[in-house]
Amino acid sequence: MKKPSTPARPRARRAARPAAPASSDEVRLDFDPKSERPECVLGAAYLMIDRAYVAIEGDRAKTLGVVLRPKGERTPAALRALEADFRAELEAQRLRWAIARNNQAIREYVAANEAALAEEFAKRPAAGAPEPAADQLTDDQRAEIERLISEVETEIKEMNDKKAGADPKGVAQPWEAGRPESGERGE
Amino acid sequence: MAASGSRLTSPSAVLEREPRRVAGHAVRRLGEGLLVVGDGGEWTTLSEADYRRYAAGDVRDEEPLGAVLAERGLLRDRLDFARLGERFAARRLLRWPGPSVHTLVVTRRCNYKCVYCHASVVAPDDASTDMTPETARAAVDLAFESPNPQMTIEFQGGEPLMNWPVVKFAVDYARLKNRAAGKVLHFGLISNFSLLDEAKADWLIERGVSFCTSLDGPADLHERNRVSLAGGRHADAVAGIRMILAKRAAGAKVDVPNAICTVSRHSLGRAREIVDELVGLGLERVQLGPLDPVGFARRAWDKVGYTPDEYVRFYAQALDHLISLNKDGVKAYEKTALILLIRILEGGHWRFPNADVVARLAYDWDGSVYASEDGRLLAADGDPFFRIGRAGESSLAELLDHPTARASLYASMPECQPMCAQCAYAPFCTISPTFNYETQGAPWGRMPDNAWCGRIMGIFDVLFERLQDPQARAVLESWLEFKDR
Repeated sequence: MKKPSTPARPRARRAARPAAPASSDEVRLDFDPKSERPECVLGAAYLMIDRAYVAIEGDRAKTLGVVLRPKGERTPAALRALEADFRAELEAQRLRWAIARNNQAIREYVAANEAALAEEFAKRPAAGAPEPAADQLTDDQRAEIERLISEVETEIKEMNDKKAGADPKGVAQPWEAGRPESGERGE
Repeated sequence: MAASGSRLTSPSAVLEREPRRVAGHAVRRLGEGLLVVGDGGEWTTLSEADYRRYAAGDVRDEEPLGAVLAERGLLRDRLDFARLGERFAARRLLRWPGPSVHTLVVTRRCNYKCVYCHASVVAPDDASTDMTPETARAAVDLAFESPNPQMTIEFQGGEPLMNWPVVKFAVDYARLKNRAAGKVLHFGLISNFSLLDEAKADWLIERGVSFCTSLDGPADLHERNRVSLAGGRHADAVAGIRMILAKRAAGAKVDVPNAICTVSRHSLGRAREIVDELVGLGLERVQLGPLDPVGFARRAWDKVGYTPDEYVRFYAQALDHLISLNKDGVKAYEKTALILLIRILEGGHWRFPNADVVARLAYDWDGSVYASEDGRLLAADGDPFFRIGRAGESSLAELLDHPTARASLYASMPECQPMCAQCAYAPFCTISPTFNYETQGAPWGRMPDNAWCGRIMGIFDVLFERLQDPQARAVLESWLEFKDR
């Protein structure tokens, strides 16, 4: 709700003015949604979140209030710079959203064509031969798989048995057991 | 205090009142001019004055500028809808053949303890995180469910050679399965090379495995970042690279090995040295991997971290040096630049490196499958948010239909994000849901203060600025020949 103390604003396009007494460490601007598109105000507000805490207030049918509280210093000069940034972003948002509106029908047409292309692609058979099910493997293939598994299991067992044996690079040494003699560490 | 605009930048112009000439586009300040990018990702640069004429609908077809704008899809009454449709179909994955890269973490054991290690390693004597042959088999079976005719199985860790038997088994098993599947099958080993000997190298080369290691630059820098129990970290990596190159020179059928340089704070002033080190070894690819404040690196961030701007300055120095070397006859490229140039210059969307579920599935040692490699690392740190299933239990369709997979994909598309949807780089960019989740608390992220966005936009700025220089552009265009390697 617009605060009672806020004076009535003219409905001139792009009207923005302090809506209510702002605290000394924030910028507060009010926009009339009938003359300023909400998507532009919200877009500009979103772009400010890297340098300010942003609050959007008000009854959107009647007013759109933007409160910017700097994340950095809150001097009068910093607040003026923040407001200037917001107004520049708002100006750019008007251009960006106007381009989007003007081209909405074309974008929808292209998207519909994309969907048609996708359907056409989905109907095609997948490239490459299909994955054979286990029961489609030949006896030789099944035997070879069994042999591979047997080999790797034997090798792992042998590796584990030898674990206490040769270790020329000391890779099996636990961290806690020591450090390289140079003692160099990254940090 | 001076006013400073948002990361999008804020060009101004008066738009034509009736929609007539100006096609859908995004615009960004670039040096003294403006970069104008059409919906299809075709682009041009204009002076501010020309942009104002364009926005006002005052550029005529007969002008040279009119021809350029029409050719780039920037005039709404001259749009080529078939071409636009093709570009969108590629970008929005409407012809997506399924994931092609399958990363198997065969163990979390590692004999290094890098200061920023993302990989959440365990001590070398702790075999509890070794992938078993049964799990490897289930992972390979799951990978073969993808209809993509291309398939790469990549072995990571930890240090994957610490579970050598399972690496061998997975390679042989996949080759056996592929006799029936008939895919174009590749393998990759990502290793610190400390355990790579002649016998292992020969075995791997014989089966078409390619090699990648970590090399952060000159020895002192590499060893400052990478701590091992046994010493010789830089020497191990260099010896491994030289071994592979020597075998290649002797006629072995093996790709030139790759080396990933992880950029820490210690790297920042040493861009030229790092490039010289990698190129001097005979490597073709320079990959300058930035650190993110995630996983183990988050805990060490005050010692090894940096701002996006610092990384971009480093990146620009390295890129400029590499371009300069190319002008002198060296043939080597930078990987991130290549990925982005394919999109910028050819309209291709090679893959979504940050929406890994599209191109890549990560299989942890226990068979858990994650929507991204970073998601796996997050799980190793105690948060399984990005886990989407398990090899041996889940089908590929179930994985891809998992709510987390769908949310990750949606959150990674610039068209779906406020701010990104208006960004001039949107047709070329992807977003990292994992980074957003880790640093900002949700896959969605907040782009205005998102460090990933700051870094990637800085890289785009560097690339587009270099593309304005004909000589640098010729070098960058020549890198496209590496795209199929």
